[in-house]
Amino acid sequence: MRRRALLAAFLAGALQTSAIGAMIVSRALHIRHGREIVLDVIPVDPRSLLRGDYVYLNYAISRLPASLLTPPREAPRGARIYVILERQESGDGEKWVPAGASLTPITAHDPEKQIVLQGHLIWQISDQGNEQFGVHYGIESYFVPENTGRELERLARTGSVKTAISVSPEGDAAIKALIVDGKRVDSPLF
Amino acid sequence: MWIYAKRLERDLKRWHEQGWLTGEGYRAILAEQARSKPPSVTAALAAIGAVLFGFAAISFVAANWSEMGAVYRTAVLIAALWIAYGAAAYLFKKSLPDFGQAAALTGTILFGATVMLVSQMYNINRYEPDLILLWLAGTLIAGAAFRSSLVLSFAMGLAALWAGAEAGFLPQTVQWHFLPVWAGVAALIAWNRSGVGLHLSAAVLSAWIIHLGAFLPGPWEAHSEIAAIGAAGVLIAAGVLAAAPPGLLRQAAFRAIPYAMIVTFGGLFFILANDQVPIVLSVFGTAVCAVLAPMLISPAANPLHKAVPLLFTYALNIALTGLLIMQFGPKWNLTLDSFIVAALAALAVLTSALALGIKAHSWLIMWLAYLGLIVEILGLYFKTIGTLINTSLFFLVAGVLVTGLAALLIRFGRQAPQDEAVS
Repeated sequence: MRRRALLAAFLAGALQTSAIGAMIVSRALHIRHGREIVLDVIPVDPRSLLRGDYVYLNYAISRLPASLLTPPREAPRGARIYVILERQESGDGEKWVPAGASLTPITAHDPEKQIVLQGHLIWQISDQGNEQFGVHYGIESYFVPENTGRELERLARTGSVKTAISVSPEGDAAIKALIVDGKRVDSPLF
Repeated sequence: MWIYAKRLERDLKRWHEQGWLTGEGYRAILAEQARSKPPSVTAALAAIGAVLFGFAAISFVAANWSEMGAVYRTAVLIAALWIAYGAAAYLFKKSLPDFGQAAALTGTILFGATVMLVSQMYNINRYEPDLILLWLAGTLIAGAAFRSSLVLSFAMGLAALWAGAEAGFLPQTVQWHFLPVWAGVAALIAWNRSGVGLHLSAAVLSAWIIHLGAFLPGPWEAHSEIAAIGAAGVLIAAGVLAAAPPGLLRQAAFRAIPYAMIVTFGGLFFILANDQVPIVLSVFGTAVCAVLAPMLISPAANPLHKAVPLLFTYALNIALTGLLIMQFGPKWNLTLDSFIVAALAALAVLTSALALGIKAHSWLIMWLAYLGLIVEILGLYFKTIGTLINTSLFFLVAGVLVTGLAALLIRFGRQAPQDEAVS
């Protein structure tokens, strides 16, 4: 019993610590080595009972016109989608705007100016009827200390909140930093 | 069951002393017996203490307390996780299995809290149910490694939480994929021969059936059908109980009755939630419980003693349905004073029922009261949540108090035989 209990403690502790370690390392590597782009956001602040307060980040690229989508245009909710973003220079600096989308994997024609993001459809689309489609990229939540979400929301209304996104070669996105009024708050690596 | 267990322990000791049973065989039978033994008050308090510690850790994570860096918070939680598992191994070694299981449970909750913290730290927007599924997987490993009924039962609770989170993310969709997950966890619980865990599995499945009322055939349309299915289940099980010869079928029918009742009351909860019926239900149910309580403690004094625990369970179910609807029903917005009165009444009814269940050795009452307490505490947590860091502190203090109480009980329990020997 004594040996079995010790073995059980070691097994449970080691496997669980490894799982947590794997989460940390994969995320840190993603943030460190992915390509960085900056996007405008419109946050709203809900609360998760397990993870606390967060701002829900709504992006201009979260809702796209159906005309951008290369046929076929029928897919269930949750289906994987690939969106091409193109860099445009403007008076405020560079902006990343959607240039195309597909339900099958695609590559950027001009890797210098374009990047592919992977996401999931947040509602079903059909060949006829949908004028727009919604996409979830996995970068929609930003966790904040308790009761500080409202302030971010206020700042966002004045257009002074952006996020720096790290994009992996496969097109997965992760939040690298939140930029509030030009001040950058980076996610920790380790 | 308890009388049999006591007698078996006595006989085993005698057979061992007379040399008819080897030391190894004696210990193996005792260990087997301990696994199927109903939990004591100490075990219950230790488990509640572990859950409270866990709530403290989760609230601490949710507070996203900026005074301490996220990396330090992660290190603290991982260190606490290892300490909890180390303590579990030590407590099992010291023949304190109740506390060992509670420590292992604390470890698994700390694992979940750390998963949530890491996802918060890196703003991992992964579908929250997936994170709960990871927590569930870690919990199953710990539960199987320690062969802990408590941890495996907690895993069943996590499976329910996962299904709830899935429902939150995919509203108006029936969670059919919950069934294989439920079956997997229930199979591990059955492998560990945990009677308590199997009861919890049945309760979770009942809750899942109740939730179907919201989706079949259309939103908020099928609660009456679910209540009718539950009532039909009660009638069929009662019929089998009356007609079938003693055996497995009869036992299964007896055990199915409370769960069919839970389904019935679950359906009624949503049908009745909009009018004044809950007040009548709570007053009536509590009054019947109060009348039955003395009969429950001294069963020999009344001719209906065999039916009293079942009747008490019906009454408790009725009272609980009313009290929960009043506090958390979708259309019920009590003033703060009325809410506090209803919450105190529910806690009083449930703790009294728990004490009565333990005193009367009734699993049925004990576990219904347990389930009710968990629902009530969770409901209060969600409804009254203030600042998260204070909530965390509240749960930590409550955990220390409850665990301390359990430790005191163990001490008294160990002293009792000596006192008896002296007298």
